[in-house]
Amino acid sequence: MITIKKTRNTYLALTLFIGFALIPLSCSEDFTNVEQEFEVGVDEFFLEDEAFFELLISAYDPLSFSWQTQLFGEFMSDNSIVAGEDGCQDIPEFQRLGTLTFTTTNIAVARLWDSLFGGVFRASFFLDNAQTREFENKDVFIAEARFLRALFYFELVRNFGGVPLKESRFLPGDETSIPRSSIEETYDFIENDLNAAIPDLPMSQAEIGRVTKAGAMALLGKVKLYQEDWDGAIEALTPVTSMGFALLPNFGDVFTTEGENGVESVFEIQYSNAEAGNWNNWQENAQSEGNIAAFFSGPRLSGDPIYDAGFSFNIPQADLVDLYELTDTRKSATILNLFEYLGVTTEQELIDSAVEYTPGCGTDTGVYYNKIIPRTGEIDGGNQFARSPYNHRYIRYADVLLMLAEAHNRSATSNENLAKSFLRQVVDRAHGSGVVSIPESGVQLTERIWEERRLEFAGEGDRFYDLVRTGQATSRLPGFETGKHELFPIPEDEILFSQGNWGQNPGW
Amino acid sequence: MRNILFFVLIFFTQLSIAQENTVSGKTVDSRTGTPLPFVNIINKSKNTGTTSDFDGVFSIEAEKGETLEFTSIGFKTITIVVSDTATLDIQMEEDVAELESVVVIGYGSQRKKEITGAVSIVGDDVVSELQPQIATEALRGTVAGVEVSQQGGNPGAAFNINIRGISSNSNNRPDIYVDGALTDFNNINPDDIETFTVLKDAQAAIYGSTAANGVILITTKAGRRGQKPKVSYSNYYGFQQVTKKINVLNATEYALVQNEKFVNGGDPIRFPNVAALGRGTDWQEEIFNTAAVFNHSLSVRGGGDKYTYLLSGAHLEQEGAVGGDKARYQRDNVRLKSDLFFSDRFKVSTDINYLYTENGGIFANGLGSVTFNALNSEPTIPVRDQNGVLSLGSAESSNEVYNPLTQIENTFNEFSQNRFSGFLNLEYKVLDNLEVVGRLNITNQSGKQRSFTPSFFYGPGKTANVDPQENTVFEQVDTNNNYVFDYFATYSNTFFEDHDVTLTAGGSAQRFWGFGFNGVAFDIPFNSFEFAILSNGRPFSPSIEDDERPNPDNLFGRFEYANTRSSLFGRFQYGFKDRYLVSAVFRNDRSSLFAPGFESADFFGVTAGWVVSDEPFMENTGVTLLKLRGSYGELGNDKALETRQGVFNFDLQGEGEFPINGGNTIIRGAAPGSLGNPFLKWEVAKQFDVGFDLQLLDGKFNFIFDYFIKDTENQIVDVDVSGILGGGTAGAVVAPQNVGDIRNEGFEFSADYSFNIGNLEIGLGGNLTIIENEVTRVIGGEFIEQNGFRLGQAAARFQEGLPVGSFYGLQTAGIFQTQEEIDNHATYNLGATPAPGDLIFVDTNNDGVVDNDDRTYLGDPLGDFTYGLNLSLNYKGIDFSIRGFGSQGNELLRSYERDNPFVNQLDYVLGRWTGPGTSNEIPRLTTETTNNGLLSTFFVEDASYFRINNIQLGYSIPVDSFKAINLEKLRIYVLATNPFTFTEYRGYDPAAQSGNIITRGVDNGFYPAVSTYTMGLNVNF
Repeated sequence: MITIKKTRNTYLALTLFIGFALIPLSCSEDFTNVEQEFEVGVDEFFLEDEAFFELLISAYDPLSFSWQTQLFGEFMSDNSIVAGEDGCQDIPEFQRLGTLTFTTTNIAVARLWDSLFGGVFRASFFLDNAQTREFENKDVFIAEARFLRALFYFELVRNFGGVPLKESRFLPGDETSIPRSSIEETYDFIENDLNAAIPDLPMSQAEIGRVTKAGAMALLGKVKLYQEDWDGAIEALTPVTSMGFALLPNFGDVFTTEGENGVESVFEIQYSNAEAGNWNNWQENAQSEGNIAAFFSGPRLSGDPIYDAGFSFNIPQADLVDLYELTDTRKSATILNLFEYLGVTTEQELIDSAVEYTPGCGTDTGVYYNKIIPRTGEIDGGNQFARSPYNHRYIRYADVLLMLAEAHNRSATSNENLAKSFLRQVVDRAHGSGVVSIPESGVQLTERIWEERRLEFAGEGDRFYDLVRTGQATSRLPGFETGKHELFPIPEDEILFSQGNWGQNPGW
Repeated sequence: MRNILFFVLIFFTQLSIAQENTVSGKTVDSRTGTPLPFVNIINKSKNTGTTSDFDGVFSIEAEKGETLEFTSIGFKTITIVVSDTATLDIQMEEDVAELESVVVIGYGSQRKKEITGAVSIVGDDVVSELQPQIATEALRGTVAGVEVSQQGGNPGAAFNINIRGISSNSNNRPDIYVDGALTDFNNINPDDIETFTVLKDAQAAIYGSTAANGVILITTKAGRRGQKPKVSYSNYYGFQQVTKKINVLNATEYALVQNEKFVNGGDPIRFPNVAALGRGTDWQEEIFNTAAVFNHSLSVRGGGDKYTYLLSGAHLEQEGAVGGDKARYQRDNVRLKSDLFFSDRFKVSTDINYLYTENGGIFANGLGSVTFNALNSEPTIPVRDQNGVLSLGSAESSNEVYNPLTQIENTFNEFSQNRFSGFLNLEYKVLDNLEVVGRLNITNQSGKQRSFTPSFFYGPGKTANVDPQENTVFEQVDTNNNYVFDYFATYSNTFFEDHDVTLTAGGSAQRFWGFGFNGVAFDIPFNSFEFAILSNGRPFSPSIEDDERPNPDNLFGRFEYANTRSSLFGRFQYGFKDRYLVSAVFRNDRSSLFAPGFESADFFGVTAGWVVSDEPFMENTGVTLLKLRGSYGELGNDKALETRQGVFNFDLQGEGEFPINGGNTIIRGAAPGSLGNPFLKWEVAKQFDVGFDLQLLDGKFNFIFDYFIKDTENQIVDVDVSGILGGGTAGAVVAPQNVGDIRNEGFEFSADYSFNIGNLEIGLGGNLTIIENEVTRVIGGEFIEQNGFRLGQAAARFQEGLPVGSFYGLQTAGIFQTQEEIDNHATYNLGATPAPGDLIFVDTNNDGVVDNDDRTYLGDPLGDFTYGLNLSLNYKGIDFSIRGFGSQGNELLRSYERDNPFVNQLDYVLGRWTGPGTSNEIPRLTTETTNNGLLSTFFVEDASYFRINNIQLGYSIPVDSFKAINLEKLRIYVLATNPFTFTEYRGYDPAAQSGNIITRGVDNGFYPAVSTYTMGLNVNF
């Protein structure tokens, strides 16, 4: 009897047990499908009127990459040294760039790559979404995004050579499947974007800082110049001379706050002091909306009525300072000599002066880039990090003129007179009308144009790229290895991410 | 017959037959002789059962020859065969030998003897010996295979717990359940803990997706039915001190070294008059203080006929040995735990916990921390100027180095949290051998934070300077909630006498959610913490005079998340004659953390054991237990994603701001934020274990051995991806990726032995863990590298063939003594030109050039072996215990020296190279640029250590004299925690590791380990 009861109990227990265990099967699917509340989804976003403007703004945002090339273009060249805190160990990745002793793992190089491709990503993301939808000002917006992508790719090609290209945005897996294009193909891609953009871009924009037709044409001219396509450069740049731009009479006015976005600005990258970075995030691009290059280039001092404190990077050297002739008004606008400014003669007197100056590393301390360094009141020093509102004058009208001068002089159908007339405008603005003479023609004229580029744009970040472009780097820069230092290495990480898909640049 | 050896204390009295088939009697506590109520009595032959009543009286139907089993928690199980006995006097003996003790194993429990997985148990004796401020410390050095390290010695600092090695690149924290409810160590009053059960292998598979890191189950103390109220009170008072100082230069040494350095660099000397400087300021001495710690803990427990209860509370208060009150920590716990027995079949348990913590916090670890400033500040600067004002950092020195006392003075942090958790457990015995359980645990935690950065001038050019009116307050409130609902049924039966089967099946639904607000405001009135709340400040920085609109980023932030998990699980346990034991576990988890198509995963585990000692051939060998064990399982880990939501989604939450229109107006754009990874898979740990348990000498000697292999695959890590994918844009969040596999392989040994010499009871114990850790695969690249050495240098790697977190840099081979040596060595391509006195870096790839390609493995923070030792002595009322733990062969990376010519230095520079033959270890000093600051062997230090973490001496006053007030126990003790550490390591704490897995061995200046000296009192009545 006991056995029967026991067996029945066992069956009952097992049946109940199995029934209980099966309860949950019915209700688990919905439970783990959690909606993201309060968040505007990608599809919902595009229903808003302002969506495409907001998306376009975010493609402009990565333009703030330019503080990097503004620094690199100077301290890697014969204009200035990296400097920084005494001891010359401050920001090691910059120190190595400045002495051309960097390697494929240099973090500053990797950041430049990331921020430029970040720009490409944002512009392509805009294009991917814009091309399939209808909205107001569609053609202009698309043209702006194409211009931006062209600019980011131009910086990529002049820093890294040929890079991967794609019409839509890159997706995971592309790094192992899309190869690096050649330098020529990359330039073709850039020109294609610019040529598509130029017809749709307006002569002027509602908001300052958005690109105009002239901006895109000037960039196209620069792109041609870098390919030594002189006639192409002339073709792109000549119309810009009749689009209402002019040189300001007083060179120094270009770099004041009032001179921002003025009659000489063809395309200017906007920076603002409205949002600061800090020690922890200044490297992360665009967390700060301020110009880090300008801020870092300032002297270490405090309490001066005109100049605000910086971190004494990017100190100009005698090679540049002494090149300015006595009549050159650009010298005082470009170079601040603290000895002269404060009326002292020795470094110790500087240190003991009211501004409590702290020398930076290296030689010529006491000499800074007047045209870019922060002014008192425009930013607040201390921990208000990287807040300089100094706009990067990416393409000035003077650049258009000097590019035209160079293109005309170096073209197969060389037109020296036109070349000289463009050069003359720039030289006369600096020295006064007819004060200095310029060479008549040929190589001397070309070299003079190059020298004027150096004097005109010192501190603005083009020097190193000009040296490479014009083949002068080897002779001008100690440690420059021909066939290697023309381009940055592809960052080591990227080579690894590509799993063999991307080769390294020559010499690295 | 079950374990007859252990049931020697069964007394049969009054043998007679009262009725034909009813047996009655009384259950008694053998020690006190008082009736023991509510003992479970089962007639194994009939499968019927009953419970003894409040007075221990019972009666049960039974016939001669049938088997009765008496069980009660905390007592040995007694099995008898009914003979001609009418009234039984069952003397229940307290379970000391523990083999019969019941061990929780997740959704159920098992007798210790039957456990077939690798399970370690730590009892409350260890907790009371260590008197930890945070319960985690009780696992430090006490369990083989469990490595505990603290992220610095500041009060409330977080712990890393690694069970069987670093098995995840993102999160190695095991889940912690208290009586079945999910919680965290920081929330627990250590005095509430009865046992820790650590599930180390496939046994944990019942927890499925969260089990790969192991699982720690905590059982807390409880009242017993029929127990008179028992009151326990304990307290301790003590103080904490930093006992380790890093040897830096005094003022005279510093000045001499500086002068030499500047001369070598071609600069004028800094200190023409060295003689007047003396020893100068000892900055470490200035920041270290004696910090008070005290704790009160009170509990009352007991039970009646149909209920038990435990009410406990504790209050802990602690100051920082650096930062004093600014680094304080306070914790209050209150708890009510009760069981209600509605009938023999139906039990309801509740557990209500309240926790309050409040703490300050100083910048404790890393570049810019208080200790960093103390180590790097020049000893020639006085602490205060002639007016008694704290002095400023010097103009020459590094921008980040300034007077650490000004830093402490200007640190204002206030964190507090309230945490409520409620637990409800229903157990219903549907049939004698079928029980269903439903339990719900709900937790609500809310936190509040207020931090104030006052306007202050720390010295010329210092990055920490805050201009007038630029002071800022940050406030945050957040709340984090979860519920865990479990339901399961357990069926257990014995078939044909010898076949024991237990089936468990059920499910679990869990939801974790929370949100928070925070904001920043500027220009707090009077620059004072007192007024530092958001509404007293301005939403934007005053330095932007013409700003037309506040910056919403500064104004406030908001976050919100919700994650869910639902699971099904089942377990089959089978034992034949209690000798051959197997179990199989299955679990399916679905999680909202993964994209559709990847959200479901299956996990399993199988274990087997053979109790060799119960075989007939082992009788009379003196071996009380020999059990062979083996297990294999696949367990998951999704902790990398906790408190995140929808990482597989693409969104537009990035930052796309640009000051279009010039000036100060920033236009907010919309930008891609999360870049999404819809292909993310679960992290899976494949675990294999074999081992044995050996017990000799009637349980006085225990030995446990395990060998294991743990392969964790598909590591979920936030890694960089190619820049072409847009990760370099502001606000972009690269989704985590499955990047690689890690293998941990090792041995665990633990042993304890207790014996008596006369009245002296001696206990000895120890454990040893040997683990080899290796990255076995890296997907999409050869390694993952993380920065963290000094200013942004790459520090450590996750690289195939190396342990996780290996330091990777240049290998040194002494010092260049002459220019000739340099000329004969491979050419340097590292930046600076080498000179005599510089470090010799090895050209490891023999290409004639020393460059970044020559970087190689330099060491790692994983010890070759770790161990723990303990000794306890009892003589009459006096008890003494000492515990220690250590690690051998682990390295740390010295990274707390600022690379700047003016800062102070460690005193090893006194042995620097000053000319040929002077040193082959310490490079020359100069202000010139050198390569000596690159990560190399020079910065890798052996951090092997042995730490005495506990010495305790107690005296129990004989209570006989206090009989009148029912005093059961009165004990006073003195305790030293961490009094001695034996190490060659130069830094503060060789046992500390940071929370970042890859760079955990980089010492950026950990908050020093503190030694604590306390006096305490335990009272029970």
